[in-house]
Amino acid sequence: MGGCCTSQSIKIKAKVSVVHTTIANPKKYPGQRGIKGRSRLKNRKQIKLYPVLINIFDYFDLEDLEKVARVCKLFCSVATMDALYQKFEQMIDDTSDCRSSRMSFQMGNLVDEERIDFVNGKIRIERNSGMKIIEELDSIHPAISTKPSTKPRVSVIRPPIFNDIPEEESEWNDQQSRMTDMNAPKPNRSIQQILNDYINGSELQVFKRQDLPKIIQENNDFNRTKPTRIDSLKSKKFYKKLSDRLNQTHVFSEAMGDAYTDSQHINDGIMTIESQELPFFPYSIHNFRHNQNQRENSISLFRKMQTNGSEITDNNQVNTDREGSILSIRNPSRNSSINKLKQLPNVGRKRNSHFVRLDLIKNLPGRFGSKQSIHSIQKAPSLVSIREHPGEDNNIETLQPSNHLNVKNIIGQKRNSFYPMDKNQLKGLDLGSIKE
Amino acid sequence: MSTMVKLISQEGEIIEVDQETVMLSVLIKSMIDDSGTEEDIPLPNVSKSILEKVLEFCKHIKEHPLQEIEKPLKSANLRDIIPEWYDDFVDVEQETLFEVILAANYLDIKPLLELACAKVATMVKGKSVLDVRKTFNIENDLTPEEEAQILEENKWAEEAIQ
Repeated sequence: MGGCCTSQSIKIKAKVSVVHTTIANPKKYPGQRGIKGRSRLKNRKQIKLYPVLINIFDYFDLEDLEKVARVCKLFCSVATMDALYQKFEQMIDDTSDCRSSRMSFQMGNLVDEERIDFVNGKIRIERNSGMKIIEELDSIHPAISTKPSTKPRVSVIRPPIFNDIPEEESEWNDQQSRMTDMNAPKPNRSIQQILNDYINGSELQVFKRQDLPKIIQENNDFNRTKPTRIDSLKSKKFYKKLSDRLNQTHVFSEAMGDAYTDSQHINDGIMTIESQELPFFPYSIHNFRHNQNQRENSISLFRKMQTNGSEITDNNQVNTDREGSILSIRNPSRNSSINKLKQLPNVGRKRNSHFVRLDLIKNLPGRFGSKQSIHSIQKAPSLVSIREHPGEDNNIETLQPSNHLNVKNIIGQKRNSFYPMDKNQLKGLDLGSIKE
Repeated sequence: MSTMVKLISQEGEIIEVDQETVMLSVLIKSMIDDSGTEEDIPLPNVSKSILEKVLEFCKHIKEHPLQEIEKPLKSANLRDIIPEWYDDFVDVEQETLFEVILAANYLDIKPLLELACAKVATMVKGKSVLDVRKTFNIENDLTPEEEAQILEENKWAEEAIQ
């Protein structure tokens, strides 16, 4: 821990004497006071020892701190807190400015059950031992509160399918910014390149939890001498958050095996689902499977598009780069793109901006035997897959009655309208004659 | 000629000292700023012997500045880190050392506080838990279950990274 905590820098408002400590002092040194004086000194020491111990423990590394934590309860309390400070300082060094975010660490402290919050550069310690005692430290350790972040921020790299994630939490964005080893596509790639990557399977790991990027850069330069609980907490918290985020992404069409037999069925089945309904939606991103082995059968594409109730507007062209197969998504008005969508006012695009999954199946050999082109999807206000927008008002109670179908009806319509193909049926499909 | 300041120790004895010397103490400096040098400055928490030792440090550091001690300590021998005089200065009885720490904390003299705390840290560094308890006469108030819990927590943290 770099720096020290003086009595002025840390104002402990609560009674520090809540820390129960016994310092046995059987030896009598020359000039030592008698029992009465010693008792008075002991009481004084108990009150003043706490901030002093913090200063002493500043000179310990994590290994020493773990050792002295086993000496007594007071040492355990101070050492645990000092270790937290040290790790917090490391986190500040490693990450961008953590003082703007809120982090809580539940300490299984032996003295009392403690809760320490780092909130906006202040530390709040809450102990529950019969009566509630709150200590507020006006500032973090001087070294922490004044030390600026020295490492440059890594530019945000996101896969294009997550491009419309709203900027909602700085902590999340900071975590995102450190995903340097993410196997994500590079920015400014064309949709054709993205689709090629999907077809070749190189982008599939985006959906796999086990392949999620590491939290911390591998080449960070602080010495990670001893692991601590905070590392694990940080890791767990991040993965949980990312998992929750992924779970908010719902796919209407469950698998690549789904196919649509004619445009009328699609038009019947395509409905808008409000994001408020999505918590009850049975599909999640984990159910999605990209069947890369069926190269000749189908192409699945996630693409952020805008629906205005009658058509999908997007001017990106997608070429599957396969023999005779071209998938084009054209915008009749040619006035919108992903970048332009982001510039639109929130009110205007909030409801209509979604991810759209396009399943391109040609010459279905099913019972309908009809041809299916991309136009039938383009013309529909389609939502084959839906992306929930966390920034939207998700308060179900405030929902106004709307014309949108609820999820149960949609599912029912989906069952009636969509004809799920099995993998065998998909074989032999000819993508070469797809209409643009 | 520099201004003299009168400090009143815990025992009520008056010690006259150069103002420039005592300005190292943030507490005394603020009191002088508030009340001036004419008024006596009572220091009820500091005994005369400790106050004299503190003033000795203040006089010496004025002429021989002490560099900030690196944290965490690289060595258990303080002499490897700081000049010899400072090491000798804190090479005293535990009771005296703790009194100096408390006085430095009370008077808000950062270099002295750091020096004394570093000395205590060297007394702990490299020693076992039992030795630490023995050195400082600390009563073990942890139950075996609690000790096991601490060990388990450390073990869990190590496994988490691996």
